[in-house]
Amino acid sequence: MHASEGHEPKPSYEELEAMCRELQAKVTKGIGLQHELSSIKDELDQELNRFRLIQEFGEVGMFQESIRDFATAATEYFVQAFEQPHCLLAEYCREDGTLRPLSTFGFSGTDIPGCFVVDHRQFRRREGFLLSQRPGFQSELGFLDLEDALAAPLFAPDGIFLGLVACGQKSEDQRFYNPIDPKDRHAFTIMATKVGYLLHNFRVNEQLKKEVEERRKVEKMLEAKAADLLRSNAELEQFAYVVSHDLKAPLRNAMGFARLLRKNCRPGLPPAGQEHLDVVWEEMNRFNHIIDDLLAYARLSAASSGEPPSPVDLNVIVERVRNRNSFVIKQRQARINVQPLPRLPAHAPQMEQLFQNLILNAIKFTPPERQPEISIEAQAVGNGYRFAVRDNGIGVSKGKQTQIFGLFQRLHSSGQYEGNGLGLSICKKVVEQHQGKIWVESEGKGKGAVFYFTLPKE
Amino acid sequence: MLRFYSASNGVVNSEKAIRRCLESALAGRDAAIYHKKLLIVIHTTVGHDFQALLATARRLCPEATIVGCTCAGIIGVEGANENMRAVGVMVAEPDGDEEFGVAYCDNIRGYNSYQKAREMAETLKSETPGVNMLHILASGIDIAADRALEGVAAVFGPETPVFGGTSSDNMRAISTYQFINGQVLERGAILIGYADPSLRVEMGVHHGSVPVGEPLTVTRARANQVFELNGEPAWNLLMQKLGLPEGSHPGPCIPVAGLAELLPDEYHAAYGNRHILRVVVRVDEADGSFYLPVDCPEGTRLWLTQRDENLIFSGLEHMIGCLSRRIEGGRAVAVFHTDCAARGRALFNKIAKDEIIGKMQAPLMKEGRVPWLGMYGFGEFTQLKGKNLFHNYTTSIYVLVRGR
Repeated sequence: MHASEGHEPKPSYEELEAMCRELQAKVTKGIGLQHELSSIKDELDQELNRFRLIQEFGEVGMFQESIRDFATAATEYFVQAFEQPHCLLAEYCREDGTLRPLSTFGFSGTDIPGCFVVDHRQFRRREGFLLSQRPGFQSELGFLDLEDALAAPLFAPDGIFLGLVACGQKSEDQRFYNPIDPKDRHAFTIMATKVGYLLHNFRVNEQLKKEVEERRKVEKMLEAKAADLLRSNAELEQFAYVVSHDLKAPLRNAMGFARLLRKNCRPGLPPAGQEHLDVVWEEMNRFNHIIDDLLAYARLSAASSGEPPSPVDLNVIVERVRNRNSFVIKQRQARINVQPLPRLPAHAPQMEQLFQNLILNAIKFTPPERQPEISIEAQAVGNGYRFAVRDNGIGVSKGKQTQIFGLFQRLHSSGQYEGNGLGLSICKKVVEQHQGKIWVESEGKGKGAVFYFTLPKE
Repeated sequence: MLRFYSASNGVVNSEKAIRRCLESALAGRDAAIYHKKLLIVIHTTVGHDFQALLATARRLCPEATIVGCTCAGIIGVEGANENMRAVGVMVAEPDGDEEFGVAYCDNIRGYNSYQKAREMAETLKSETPGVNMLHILASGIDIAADRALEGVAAVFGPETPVFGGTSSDNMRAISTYQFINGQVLERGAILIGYADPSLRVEMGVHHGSVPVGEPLTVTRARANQVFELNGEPAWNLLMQKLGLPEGSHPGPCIPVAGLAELLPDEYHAAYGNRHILRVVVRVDEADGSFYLPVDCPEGTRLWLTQRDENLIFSGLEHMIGCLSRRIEGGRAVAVFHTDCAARGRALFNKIAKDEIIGKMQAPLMKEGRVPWLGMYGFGEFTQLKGKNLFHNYTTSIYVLVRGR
């Protein structure tokens, strides 16, 4: 067979060599392209991973317990996202103008000062940069001994400088770490912005937490004081009860002998002696009243801690008070107008005490030349009733309207209006023990007064 | 009877990372396990503080034997992580005292690999009776892996299965490290012997590369050091063929500088390929020679290679299929896994990597989670047709199986 009969001529050695060269060039080019493609894929993967980490940090950072934990998490995320071995996060201290490391990563053999100064006016924008591109700043951070780093200022949302972050490598790290890619500063800026905002939130929250804690402290203190007060009141009441009870017996004896003395010996005494004896008798009676009232006051606590309240018809209570005090009412020709009153859970004896004290008080503090006019009414309010005991007495000046409910508080001398200053204290205690409030309103002297108190329906 | 537990994470603080790893691996176990004579195998990338890792592991598990090595990335049940700070652990809990043993050597090099490996194997054999499989973690830069395998076989016999890998850094081929208790070695090797008669190991291996272009012939070599290819200084010619600058450091060239050599015929079917691959991780700048991890006699033909994605995926499925069939009737109790560093981020993006790992793990975890510790290293020790061999650029899986 001849070559001319359709067969390709055999390539020459030179042609074969050229074909081989061409083939090898294609192989080389193919391998190169494969390498390039892999590098691009890897770079994209790294970038995606970085943004995933930045996103993740937003969530993780927000839920850290303390500023220290937050700063630790932040430096760890910087190290992870930017694949650098060292990171410093420092916060600006407005008081002294220094920066203080909040957290460091990978600087175990490096002596980092507790505070340091950098000229922060150089940071005008939220922009990350390479340390090696700012030699002045690099020397300010010279103690970190970093060959290069990504760095960025931290700002609050309102643009206030909060600190800075630097994440980079020392010369010895370059064995395994690639030089920092300037392109990474964009992602670094994003991460630093996020850290700045979160740091700002943390500080604001911390301030709020402090305030809440302080308020709690004050509340606790008040609670403790209230408990102390309750305890000392209880002790005082116990003391009052014991004292008055123990005083009562010798007083009763003394009064018995005084009565005998008045009956059997008074006529034989000279007028001055008779007068002295009468004074002794009156003072003993007054003393006896004080002890009775004190005992009544002290008994209130004991009574409330015993039996639970039971339904009480207040119309019946007021009627009973009227009957019991009919002599005084008649004597002063007092007119008492009672509107229908409710039935509610209470301690009946205490209710009697309350209405009696208020009615007798109204009569007592009406000038003798005036006919006492008293009206009693109740009005449903919310979960209870508001009662009003209105009189046309001497009234209570504005400045004294709280004072009159205190123990032994008297606005007048005993010469003007007799009494021992315990009646309204007892009223207050009764009402408060029934979860109510008592107060007085008066237009002023001579214009009468209205004693209001509330009692719950349940 | 050994029980296995594993975990991995990308926590950057070394103390926290290893603590969380161990706590996660041993979660649900009684606290007393921390005080048992455990075996802890640690793989870590090179950004971590190794001393902090080892000291923390020791603090947590005072009685444990702690071994490990560096790598370019971790592969666990949690997925792959090739960041500068990633760590993974496999914990083996024995019932008795003699279900595993560990020996190690330092300063293992190409010229002394046989001797060092043999001595290490002798120590292990004398201290641990009943070893039925061997796990090796060795320096990834200087070792002559085939000689090391011979050294081990001289003591344990060629039939004892050897699996494991050589350590790596982040593919810079500068330094790799091995750990034995508190020590960090730079040119060491660790040999773990498992002596649990209820366990056997099933291995799978494959690469997905094809030779391209004309072969390069080794014209001058001594053991595993190649001086000349086609009569020219070996490294320079290789760089020239790859279109890379002369004098390049081997590290960055690893993804593209894989060299293929013909595999003996009897292994073709088992391997699914006619070629076995070799990596260059060390170059002698003075004479332009390079080192391979196995002997490379004069006359050997070496081809440049290219990755074939279809081959990678089909080979993977074939390998897992074969493995699953061999495991049938038994139960996978742990998986060690060595992947070539160049098969990680240098070749695949995250999606492809996740897919590959998923394809490997899913068939083995059909009946529940199986502890898994993998690393991207510089080389893989994997049996082929019952022969212990050293590979590069492969995925190698070692399934510890109990039953049938």
